[in-house]
Amino acid sequence: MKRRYLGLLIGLVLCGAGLAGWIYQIINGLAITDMNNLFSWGLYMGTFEFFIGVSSGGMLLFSLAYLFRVDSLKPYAKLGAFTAFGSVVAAGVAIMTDLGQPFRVMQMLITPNVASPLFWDVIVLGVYAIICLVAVILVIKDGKNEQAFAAKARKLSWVAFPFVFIMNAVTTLMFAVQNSREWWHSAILPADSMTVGVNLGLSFMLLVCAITVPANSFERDRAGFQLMARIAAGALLVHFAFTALELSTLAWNGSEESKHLLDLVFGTYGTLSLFEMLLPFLAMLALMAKGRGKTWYGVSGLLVVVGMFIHRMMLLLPAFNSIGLTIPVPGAEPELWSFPISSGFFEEGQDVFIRFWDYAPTPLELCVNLLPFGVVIAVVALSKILFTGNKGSQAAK
Amino acid sequence: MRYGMVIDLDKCIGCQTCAVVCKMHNSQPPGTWWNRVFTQGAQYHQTSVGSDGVYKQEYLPVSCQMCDNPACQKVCPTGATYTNEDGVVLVDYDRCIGCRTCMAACPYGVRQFNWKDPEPAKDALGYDYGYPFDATEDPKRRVYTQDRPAGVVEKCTFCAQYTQQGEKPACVRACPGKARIFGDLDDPNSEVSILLHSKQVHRLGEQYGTQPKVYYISSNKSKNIEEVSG
Amino acid sequence: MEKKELSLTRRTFLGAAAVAGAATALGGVALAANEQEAAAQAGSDELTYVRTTCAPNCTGGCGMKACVHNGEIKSIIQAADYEDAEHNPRGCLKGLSFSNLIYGPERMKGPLIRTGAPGEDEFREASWDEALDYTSSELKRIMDTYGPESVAVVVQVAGTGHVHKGAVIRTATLNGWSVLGGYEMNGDLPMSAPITFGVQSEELETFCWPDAKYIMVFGSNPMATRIPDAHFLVEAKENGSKVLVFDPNYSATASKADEWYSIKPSSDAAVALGFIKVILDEELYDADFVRTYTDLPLLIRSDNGKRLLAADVQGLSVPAGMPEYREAYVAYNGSFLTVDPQKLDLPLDVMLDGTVTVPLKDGSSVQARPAFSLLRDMAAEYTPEKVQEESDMPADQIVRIAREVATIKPLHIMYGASNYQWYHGDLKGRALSLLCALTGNIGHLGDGFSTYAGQYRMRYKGGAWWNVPELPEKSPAGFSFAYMLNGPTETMTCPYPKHGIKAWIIYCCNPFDQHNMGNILRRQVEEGQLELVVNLDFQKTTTSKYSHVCLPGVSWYEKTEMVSTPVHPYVQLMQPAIEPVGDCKPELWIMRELAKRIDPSFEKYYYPDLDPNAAAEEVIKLTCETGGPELKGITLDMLKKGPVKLRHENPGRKRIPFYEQIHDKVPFPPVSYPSPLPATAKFVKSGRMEFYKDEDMFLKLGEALPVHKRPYEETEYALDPSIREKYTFSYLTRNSIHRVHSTHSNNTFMRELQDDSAKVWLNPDDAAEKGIAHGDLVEVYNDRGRLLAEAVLDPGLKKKICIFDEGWWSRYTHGTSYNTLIHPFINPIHEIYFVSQMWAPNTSWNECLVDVRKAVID
Repeated sequence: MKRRYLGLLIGLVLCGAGLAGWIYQIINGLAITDMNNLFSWGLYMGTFEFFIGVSSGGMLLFSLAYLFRVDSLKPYAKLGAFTAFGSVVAAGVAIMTDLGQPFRVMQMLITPNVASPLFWDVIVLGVYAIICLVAVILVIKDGKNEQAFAAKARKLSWVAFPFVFIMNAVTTLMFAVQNSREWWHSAILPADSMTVGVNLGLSFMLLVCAITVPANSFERDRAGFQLMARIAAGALLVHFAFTALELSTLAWNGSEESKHLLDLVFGTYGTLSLFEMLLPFLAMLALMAKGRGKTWYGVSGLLVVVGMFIHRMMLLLPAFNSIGLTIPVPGAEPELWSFPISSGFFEEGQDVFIRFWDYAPTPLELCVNLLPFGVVIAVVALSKILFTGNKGSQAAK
Repeated sequence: MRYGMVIDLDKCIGCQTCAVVCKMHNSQPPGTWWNRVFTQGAQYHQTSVGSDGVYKQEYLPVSCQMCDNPACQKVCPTGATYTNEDGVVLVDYDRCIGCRTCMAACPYGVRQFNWKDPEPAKDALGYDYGYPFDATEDPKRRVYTQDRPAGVVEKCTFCAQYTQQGEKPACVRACPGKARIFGDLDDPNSEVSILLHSKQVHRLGEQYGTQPKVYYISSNKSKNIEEVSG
Repeated sequence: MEKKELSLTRRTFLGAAAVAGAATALGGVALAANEQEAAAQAGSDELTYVRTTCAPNCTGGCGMKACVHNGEIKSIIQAADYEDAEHNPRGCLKGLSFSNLIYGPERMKGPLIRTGAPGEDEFREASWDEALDYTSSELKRIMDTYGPESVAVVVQVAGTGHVHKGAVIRTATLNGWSVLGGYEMNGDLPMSAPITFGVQSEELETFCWPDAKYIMVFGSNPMATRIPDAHFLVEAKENGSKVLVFDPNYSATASKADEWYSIKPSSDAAVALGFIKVILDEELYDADFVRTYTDLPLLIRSDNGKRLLAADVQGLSVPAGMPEYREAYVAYNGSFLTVDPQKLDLPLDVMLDGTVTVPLKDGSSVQARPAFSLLRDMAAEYTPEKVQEESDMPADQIVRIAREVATIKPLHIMYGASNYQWYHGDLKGRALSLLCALTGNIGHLGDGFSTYAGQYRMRYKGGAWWNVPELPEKSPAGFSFAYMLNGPTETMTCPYPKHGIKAWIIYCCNPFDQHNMGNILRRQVEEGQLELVVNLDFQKTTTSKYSHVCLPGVSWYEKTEMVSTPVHPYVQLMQPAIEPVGDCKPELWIMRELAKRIDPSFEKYYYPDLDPNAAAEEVIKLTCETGGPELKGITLDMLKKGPVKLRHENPGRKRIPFYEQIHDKVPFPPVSYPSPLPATAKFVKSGRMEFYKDEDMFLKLGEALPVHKRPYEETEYALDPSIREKYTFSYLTRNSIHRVHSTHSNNTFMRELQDDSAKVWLNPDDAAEKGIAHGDLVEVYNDRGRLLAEAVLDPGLKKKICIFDEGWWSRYTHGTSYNTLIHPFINPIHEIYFVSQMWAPNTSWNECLVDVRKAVID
């Protein structure tokens, strides 16, 4: 009994802590974070991007299962719907915690700027969240009647499947259009984001399934795991290809700005870059292996999830530390000179004007960031309580 | 009417007066500077750049470049950032949701966020400085207020509170080097237009296609013994 | 580079009209609300703009407009209302953020009496009555015990606050206290000026900069230290003038110049003499100018090095009616001529080169040579090669520049304080003045030799208020800060108070940061030599913390005051924009209250019936009426409408220094206020510009002619020969754009712009040798003291130089004090005469050697 509610409890505790932190942040401002005018997006934005990717996995499963009638995935489709819904809500919550004026968020709909990729991101995200919600409702209403459910799920998947990709693309489009940030300004970024959506989403599903699926049903439905693993591995391969293309274009550019950027990626943030690559690479190899147990898949999934979280943070770390206004000054050391940015903070003895910020989230920031994680855990746990709980008790009989 | 500014770097002595007067008149809290002046290439302001007897100190003031193709405005999801009919890029403090996409988009690092309530931060200085009344534009856009709400983005407005009253921006009035010229770029007889046509000018970050309305004059001469004796 | 400076009076002023103060009432100080302040307090939807004058010790004197809302200043902007529009807008980053000091955390709110140890921030609040009673009883005790001259006052730059600073001087006059000359205390007294021209100083107003065609800047950085005027230098370049900067270090000014030469510290005289040698060798000098206006044609006796006196020569006599401060010398043009010191009319054929035998009245004869001839001999040493060795100035450039100097007119030489704040600063100034005199570049629009250290000079007579014309017997005692630190010297001519200084009233300066040489001042308080320190500052500075009592004054936005500055020669008012903050009081009120407690009969000299602003207006009216030709026709009502330009004699909008001497052939010197002419005319007895000095001390030290002497030889190395090896870094304390001396140290805007830390500048090579990186905390030290600050590496710095931007309050340098490193050397040349702030010992801040290491915080 206790174990059954453990997940939900953890989720709710995290939500509670995150919510308390958020309220504190709303009262005291985003000054409680380690962000500043130079490094203006941090953990919250990284978490948002992370959960967008995560959310893709569930709906991908769902639509593959019903649109393409991949039967081996069907046992995980319902869990997928809940995970996708939980994650997209988490993404929404994460981005809300990043807003300076969260109570004004409806302004985006009252006075929208249709030129803004952020506006379109919100629209796409909204549509996707509705799709996920509909999927969840379907599961709750018709979940027990497999035939009726399949028909409706298939119809929904016609919309859900493309939106998985659209959402991933549009969410990074707001980065890709910004030509003042060389690290972002690339059409390959949204494309790569789609591959991340697939590999991260499915890896996350592998992790969730590995935790929640009982051993007996794993043996029965092993094929689904294998398929997820292979797709994720394939997507990782494409992701690596895109990353290689991106980095080689950057390296070939050879400008001072590009050199500075590469120096940040492989120098300053070398360790993070290493883990960003290494963890998913090992996972990719592991995921291609045959006949492994569910822990194998779960751990491999976890490696990808961690790697992709770092990947999402690495979208921000080098970008903000390569300042847009740089001036080549012959004779200066270094020759490429960044115009200092006023941080927004003045503390006794500290620099106001900075050209680099070694961003590290504050404890309070980490606390606020528990909220989206709590949401996902709570929703997934809730789905287990609602559905697999009966199965479990049946199995116990 | 299209307001623009010309900054003559040959006349700029790097004194940072424009930055300070901007901060005071626009009530910027500690840590916030809409306008910054630094020495190009130097680790610290007003130190030399170069080696072996060949040095230079070239100062560069940077505030909002008032782009005709403003990256910040394009990404703003709520239309809080907009260009008024005088060509001035402004932020409506009642509409900004604090998403900071504009800060990520701006190549010039001029946008500043209110990470906390600015009013108590200024209390530490013993008084609340800055122009005390709001400046609004039709329809109901609040583009200047002494104490901005926490969680909104702000930046140079060409001193909306003053230009509305026919005054020039504070930095232009205060520049002891008389290096800042402000006026209507659409008027061929304005001082700015005449300068644009008669001097070698450049804009910052041309590669970003932002088309700033702030222009810089610089003869970019470097002074050194070698050159003279050469 | 400047330190605090001051121009104030000794009781030497003559002929002031006696205007009795409205001295009817006794006691009862009426503090009527000022109407302007009342207006400033108007409804909350209203803004009031009040024009005042920003007058710290930069000393820019910039007209400012305060925007007042609900009785509080919201912003400041330049008034930009000068009649010569070229001056608009005057003002800088510090002045425009001055309100941070008016309201900041260190703003004084009321009188304080110390309860803790000196230097600790332990005070109790006191009522004005208590604080004033305490102060006056202590002062009376000290005066009774040690004599009135043991009480010293310092006010700094009287010209920036004629009324309230005058009130302090007036109180010193009434009581016979000592007045410390801030001008010399700051090292701002360009001793070459009294030595050569007989004046306190002279300089082109900055408005004239574009009129020069050839501008040589020696040790001055106007782009940083004269921000409101810097544009004139840029405009000079736009006009086609050539600007050359001679400075060991690359500076903001060097960056705007055509040429920059990194010369060795304190080698400027060698450079000047290098040019002079070329000019003499190639006969490029203006011989007529030299003969007419300088002492170079005067004959010098070969036997004793003294000028030949007309009174001693057979057949010559002293002109009738010659004043006692003059002397008649001799020139030769085939026959011996008496050189009348009251005229500048020597025939243009007088001999410059050669030797003559002179028959003397006593029957003997003596060999004599014109000073010019001796100069030629002396200059012969300064070959381009030798000058390069002494100064690092490239030899080939010396010849080229010398030819340009001699041929491109007008030539203007800017001589910065960082150059004369050396032991041999006077020699450098004299050599550079000589360059102007040889080429005829004095007394015309755009030419001349300018000493720029503050705009300290009094430009009109102030004695009617500073002194007490009704009581002509009363006068303050002149005293020099150098002796307050050093004790008496054998060679001094300045009177020394029997017990030294026991009480110090400090207004408008922060000596416990700014003048704390070798930590002497702090020790004097700690050890009880200084029994009473009274501070009139509106902020709580380091000096406040060493004071026994703080009687807080007000800023220039809280009172009525009269300001004048010579470098942009306007008379302006300070006008109250707001009520005094807290319980602070205008200084005139404080002085009135203090004086009456010392002696009730003194009250009547301070307009007792009037509130301080009304009283200040009366003082301004009095000064306008009695100030002499420079204030002719100027009234208080005119000043209330805006700044009014000081009157000058020469035609045109710009005042030309020495115009009367050069154009009208009036003998040197012009008057230096507040001294009467005889007091300063004795410096140049010939009535000419003097480049050959024959007072005994000049002859003894081999400085009759302006020679080059290396730094440190007679100072640091003489003090301790081991310093030569031990301390090899020249320690220069220059001015920053972010402070006016120590004012604005605590201005948060300025602190933000400096990353909130004091900096030490080093050459990157030196730093690498010491293992110091950019941003490291470093310790600058010598046997006298230490300084902690963050390293800034600047490749434009000459090697073996360490620079500190002076002014930082101790608390920003981890409790260390940057002036503790410096020794108060006294040059005996500066002791030949003593006329306070005219010819007096001058602080040589830059004559200091140190070493640098990475700091270990203990």
